[in-house]
Amino acid sequence: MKKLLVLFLILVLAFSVVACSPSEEPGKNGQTSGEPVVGGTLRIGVQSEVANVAAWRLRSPQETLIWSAIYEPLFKMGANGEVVPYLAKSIEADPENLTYTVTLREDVYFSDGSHLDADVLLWNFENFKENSQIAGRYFSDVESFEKTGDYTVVIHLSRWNSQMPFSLTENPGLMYSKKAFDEHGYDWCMENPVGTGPYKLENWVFGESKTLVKNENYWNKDATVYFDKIEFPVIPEEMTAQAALLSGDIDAFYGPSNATMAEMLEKGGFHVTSGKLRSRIIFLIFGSDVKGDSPLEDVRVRQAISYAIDSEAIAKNIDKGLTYACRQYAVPDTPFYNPEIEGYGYDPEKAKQLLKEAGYENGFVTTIYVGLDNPFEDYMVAIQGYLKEVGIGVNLVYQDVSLWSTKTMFEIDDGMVLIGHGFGANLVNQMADNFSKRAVDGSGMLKLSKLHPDDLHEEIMAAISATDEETMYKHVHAAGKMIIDKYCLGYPVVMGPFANVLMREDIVDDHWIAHYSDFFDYTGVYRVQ
Amino acid sequence: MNSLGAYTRNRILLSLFIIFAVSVFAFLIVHLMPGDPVRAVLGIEADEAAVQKMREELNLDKPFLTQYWLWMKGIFKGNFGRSLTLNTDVGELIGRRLPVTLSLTIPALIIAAIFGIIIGVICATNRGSIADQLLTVLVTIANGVPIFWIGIMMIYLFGVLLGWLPLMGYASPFESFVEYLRKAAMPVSILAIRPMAEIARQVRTNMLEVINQDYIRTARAYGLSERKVKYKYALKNALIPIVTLLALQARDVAGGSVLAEQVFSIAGMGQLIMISVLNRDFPVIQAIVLVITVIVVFVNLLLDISYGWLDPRIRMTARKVIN
Repeated sequence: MKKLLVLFLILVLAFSVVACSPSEEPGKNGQTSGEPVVGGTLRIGVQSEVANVAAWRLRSPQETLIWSAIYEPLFKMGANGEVVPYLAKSIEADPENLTYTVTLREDVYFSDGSHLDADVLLWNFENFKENSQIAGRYFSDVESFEKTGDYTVVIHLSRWNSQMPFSLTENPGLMYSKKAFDEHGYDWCMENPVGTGPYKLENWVFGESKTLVKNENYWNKDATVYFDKIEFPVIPEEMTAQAALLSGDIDAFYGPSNATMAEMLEKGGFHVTSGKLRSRIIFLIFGSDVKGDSPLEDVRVRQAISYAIDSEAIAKNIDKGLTYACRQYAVPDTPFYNPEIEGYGYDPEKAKQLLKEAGYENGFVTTIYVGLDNPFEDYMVAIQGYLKEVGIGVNLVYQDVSLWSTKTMFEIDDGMVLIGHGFGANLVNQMADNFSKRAVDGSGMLKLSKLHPDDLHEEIMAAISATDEETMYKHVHAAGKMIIDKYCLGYPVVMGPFANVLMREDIVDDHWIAHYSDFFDYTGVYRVQ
Repeated sequence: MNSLGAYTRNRILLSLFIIFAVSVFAFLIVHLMPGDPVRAVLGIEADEAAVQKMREELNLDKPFLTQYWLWMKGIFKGNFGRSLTLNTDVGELIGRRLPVTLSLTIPALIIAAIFGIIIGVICATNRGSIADQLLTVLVTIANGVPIFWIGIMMIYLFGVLLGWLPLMGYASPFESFVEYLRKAAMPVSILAIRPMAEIARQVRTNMLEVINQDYIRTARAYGLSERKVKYKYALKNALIPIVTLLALQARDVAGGSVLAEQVFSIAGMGQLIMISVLNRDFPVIQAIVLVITVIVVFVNLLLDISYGWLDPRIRMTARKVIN
C-alpha cells in the first residue's frame, strides 16, 4: 500500500512539474518574418467584458482595443508626436478668431453605407459634447460648432485651447454613423457600434466573446485588411490565457501582467508588442493637509521620499525589466519630455539629510492610498520598505473602486495616492487634471490638497492656451520642471508601455498598435506563413 | 384547517418574511457602503455634470426609502434595473447566466452523488483492503486540494498537453450536446470532485456504522445473504443522511462555480457575482442576492413541507411551537 501511495504521489508531482515548467518547444522572442497571410481569424483574449460601445462613451483601454477595429479618428498621432490627418483632411487654427476649421476627406463611408460629411461631423461633435461623460476634459472651451461647407465644420471657442488637434486624435475624434442613430435611436447605439473602420460587429455572446468581420465597404482602398474575422474571447483568468496561448486557442492576449509576459517570453515562441507615446506611468502623488500640519507640506519631505525610493530596482525586480525608471511626468522621446528636469535618483542618505533639515529626523507616519482594481501590491510594499529605511512609517490603504474614486478626489487631503494611468497626446489635459487648480474645480485628484501652486496652474493654462506648438511645449516643459524639481508634487515610480499585447510569434504587428496613437490600426496586423 | 394545512401556511408566511428581510438587508448593505458607485462606473475623469445625471437616472438622488420602494416596485413589474458596469438589463443578464450555471452545477451534483455513493460503498464493504486505503487517500486529497489548482492542472493536461478538451468557453446543451459535453467536462469534473469526496466519506462512515447495528446482525442470523444484508438493509439506511448532505453540497457547488467559471472563462452566475461585487454594481448585486434567496427559500419550503407530509411528528411539533 505504501508503495502504491508513494508511486501515486510521484506521478502527481511529476505531472505538476511538467505542467508548470517552461515548454521545450523551440521559439524566439520577437516577430517572425515571412509572407503575410490574407484571410483567417485573429483571436485576441481580453480580461473582461466591455461596458461601453457607442463611440462617444468609450472609456477603458479594453474598449479602445476592441472598438478600434470599428471606429476611426479624425486625426492620428505621427511618428514624431505630431497630429496627422486621417478621416479629416486638415485642421486650421485661427487663434485670433478663436476657431478651428476641420475639413473632412470626401471618400469616407460608414459600414452601413452612409457618407461621412459635414452634417455627420457636426452631429458627432454636438453629440459628444452633450452625451460623453468626459466631454468637459475636451470640449470645456467650446462655445459652438458650425457647418460651413459640405465637408467643413468650424469649432468656435470661448477661449483659446491649443489642445484641440490633440483631442481630435482621441475619443472626440471617433466618428459614429448618424444614419444608424437616426434610424435606431440612442439606446440602440449604446449596444451597436457602427463606424468607418475595417471591421464590423457580427456576433456578440455577452460575457464570452465578440466576433468582428471584415467591412467589405471599407473606404480606405490603400489599406490591406488581412484577417477575415477578429474574435475577442473573454478570459478573466490569466493562467487560462497563458494555457490558451500555448495551445493556440488564442493568438494574442491583451493586458497581461509583467510577470506573465516575462514568463512567456522566457518560454519562447511569443513576443510583446506595445505602444510608445501612449505609455503608462505609475505615479505617487503627494497631498498636503489644508490645516497645514502635514509633514508633506514641506517640499524637503516630499523630496526626501523621492530620494528614498529605488525605482530602478523596482523596474528590474518587480517588473522584470518591462518598465523603466523615469524621472518626470512625460514619456521619453516625445516632444513633451524635458531633458532639463533633474528628478530624484536613489539616494537614501540625502533623503535622511533632507528629513533632518525639515525637522523630521525621527521620521513620521503617513498613508498611501491605492485602488483595489490596480495590481500595485508589490509596488506598495516596496515603497513602504524603502521609506521605512529612512524612518518614514507608511500605512497602506487599499480601497474598492467606488470608494477610491470618491476618496482620492474629494476626501484625502493628506498622504499619498498611488495611481497608474496612460498618457500620450492628452498629457497637457492630464497635467491640468492632476496638478492645476482645474483639479479643484473639475475632475482630478486630491481636490482638498493645498498642493496646487498658482504659478504651476498658470504655466499649465498657458500651455493650453498657447497659439503655436513651440510656445505650448515651452510651457509644458516649464510645468513639468515645476511638478518634479521645484515643488516635487509627485514621484514617478516607473514608466512602461500602456497597451501591452502578448502575441504568438507568427502574428506580426506592423502598425497595429500605432505607436504614437491611442487607437489600434487593424490593417497593420497579420499572420505570417 | 388540518395540521398539515396550518403547517404549510406558517411555512409560507415565514418564507415571505425571510425574502422581505433579505431584500431590505441586501439593499441596506449595498447602499450604506461608503464610496460612490457612479464614480466607479464613469471613472475618475468623468465630469461632475455627467455624474449627477447618472445619479438622477439611478434614483440615487432620492431618499433611501423612496429608492427602496422604487426598486421593489420595479421588481414586481419584472424590472431589476440596469447593470452599471455591463450596461445591460439585469433581469436579462441573470436570465442568460443562470441556466449556464445550472447546466454545470446540476450535472456536477448528480455525478458527485453517484460516484460518491459507489466509492463509499466499495470502501465500506471492503474495509481495510488496498482498494479501501487507496480510495480513502484519494478522497482525502480531493477534499484538501484547492479547486483552482485542480482546474489549472486539468487545463494544462487535457487542454494544452493532450489537446483533448477545449480549455475554455461554454456551449449550450440545447444547441450542441456534443460541444456542451466537451466544454463542460472539465468544469463539471472540478465542481464534482469535492462533493463526491465528501459524500464518499460520509457513505463509508454511515455504512460501517449501520453494519454494526443489531438489526443487521439479526438479519445475518436469519441467514440472509451478505449481499442482501449490505445492499438492501445497510445501504438503504446509510443513505438517509446523504439527502441532507446533498443539500449542503449544492450550496458548496454553487460557491465553487464562482471559481470554475473564472478559470474556464464561462459567463455564468459565478462570474457575474465576481464582476458585480468587484465593481460595486449594486443593481446586479441586489438582484442576485434576491434571486438566490428566493431559490433557497423555495427549495427549503418544499423540503419543509415534504418533511411535514412524510413525518407527522415534524408538523405536530411545529404546530405546538406556533400555538
